[in-house]
Amino acid sequence: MLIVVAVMGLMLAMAGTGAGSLMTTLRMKEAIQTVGNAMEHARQVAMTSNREVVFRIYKVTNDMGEESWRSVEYGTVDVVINPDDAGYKDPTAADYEPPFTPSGAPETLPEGLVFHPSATYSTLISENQADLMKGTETATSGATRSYVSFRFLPDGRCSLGASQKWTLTLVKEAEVSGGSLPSNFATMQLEPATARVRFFRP
Amino acid sequence: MTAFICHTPARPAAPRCCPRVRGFTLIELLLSVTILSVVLMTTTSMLNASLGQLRIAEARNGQFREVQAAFETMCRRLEACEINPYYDYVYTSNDTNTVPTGYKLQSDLHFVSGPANAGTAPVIGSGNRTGHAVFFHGTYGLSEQKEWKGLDTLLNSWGYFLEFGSDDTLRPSFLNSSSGPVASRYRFRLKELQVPAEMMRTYALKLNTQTTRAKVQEWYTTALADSSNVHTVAENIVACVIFPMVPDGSTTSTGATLKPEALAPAYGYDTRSYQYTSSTSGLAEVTRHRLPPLLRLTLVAVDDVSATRLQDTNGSAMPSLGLDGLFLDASKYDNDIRTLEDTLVGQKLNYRVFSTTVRLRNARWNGTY
Repeated sequence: MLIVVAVMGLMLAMAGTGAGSLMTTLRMKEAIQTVGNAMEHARQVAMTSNREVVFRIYKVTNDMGEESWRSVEYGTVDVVINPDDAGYKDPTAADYEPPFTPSGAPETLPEGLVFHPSATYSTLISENQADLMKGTETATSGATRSYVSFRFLPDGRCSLGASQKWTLTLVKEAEVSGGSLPSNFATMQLEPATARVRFFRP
Repeated sequence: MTAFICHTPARPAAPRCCPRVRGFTLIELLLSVTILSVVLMTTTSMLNASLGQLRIAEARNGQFREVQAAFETMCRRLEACEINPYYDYVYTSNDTNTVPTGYKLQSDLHFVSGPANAGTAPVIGSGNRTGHAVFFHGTYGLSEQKEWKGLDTLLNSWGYFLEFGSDDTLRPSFLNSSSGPVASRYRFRLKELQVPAEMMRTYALKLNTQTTRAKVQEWYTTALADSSNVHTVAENIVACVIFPMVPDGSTTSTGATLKPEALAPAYGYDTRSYQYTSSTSGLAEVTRHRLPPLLRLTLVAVDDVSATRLQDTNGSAMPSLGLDGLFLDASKYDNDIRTLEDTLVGQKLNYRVFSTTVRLRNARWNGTY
């Protein structure tokens, strides 16, 4: 009887661990797919509406005050050209930022998942890439958050240089430290010439 | 005296001790655990099977969506291709000091399509390329120069072809490191040649003065050698057929009806073939600096599960799908498609055929030649 219970306990424990890692994998897969779909959608909007679509990746502060790259959003830049119109801003001003109109709510990664901040694994959020636009945005709550952005072009390409491989790597937040790549990760690669996304999983 | 005799009903004899509550025997427990395990195993295997099916369906759906998008991109680029023809005098050996020998169509650009590495006149002739390839020019406004951005009508060299190989050089290098756990993917890929305007060599190579096929093709063969010009549009496309056609009801100048494959009986179509073929009559003259009026474009894609299976069986070698010898005779197009489909079904590969006819807007076809 004891043996039977022990065996069942062991089996349950094994199933429990398996289910846990399966859930993480599924969440990671779903998260990377969500980001990929957002890019795919931005590309389609750019092509069908024949205008450039701006894609932004945000660094978000959580309740513990920790900053991490974990949110994406896309939209258009609607500049008011006529100085007499409402909302006109002087483009020569030092603090001028083109007005960004998001196309929908931002997509935030599920709890516990972040983009790896290393420039090796996530070139799309690297601070020292000249092709990326960097900036900060003030939310309605008054909090500021920094972002990097690039554009999807109407001819089905994006504004990033073709000589570089553009990637975003998704990892568990707890495994980011140390700067190395954990065993469980999901990488997406954006090909600038075709603006298509490809996924890599170990 | 009344004697009261009290008859109390006899109480049942109290048991001497409590009966033992009978539990499950070990055999019963083992049996129930076994039954439970069997039920659990069946459920797990069913769940596994349905997850597998879901994965296959997702892979197929995603794969074919990618191919559909690639197919549409290819059609859009092809229908806008340019050749900018004009009429001019023709001189012997291009010597303008001599008396002109004719007044014919001229162009500084080039359109070429046909089997990439097969047939008598391969369009590329090297590398792990298969199927048909097409190279052309168009005003797609591509430039890597920051100052040139926004000039949307810059002329570019463009092209499409199929290539088989691994993705080691295409993906981020950290995935290839010794600790990188992501395995290489050996796949057929539809590649797009995009030459930025500042890198275009078509005019510099003086195509009009060339007399060999290699020299006429040099503008794209040199561009192909630079990997920064070549990009993957879609994976797992195993066949690409480009069939230059004449519209229904087209006739020769004498009134004879033309078959659809009249312009490209062996699929090959080259607007500059007159420069390197000895005969100055026939197809070389008809296709001289003239775009084909219609292109029947066919892509055959397999899903990623099938492609993974092909990699498992063939490793890094290019899988044989029975394409050798197919799509070399345009009159057998329908037969060749059927043969290819039979081969794919025979190898139990999930496939889909994408086919459409693209009308080239800059082809000035007047229904006859």
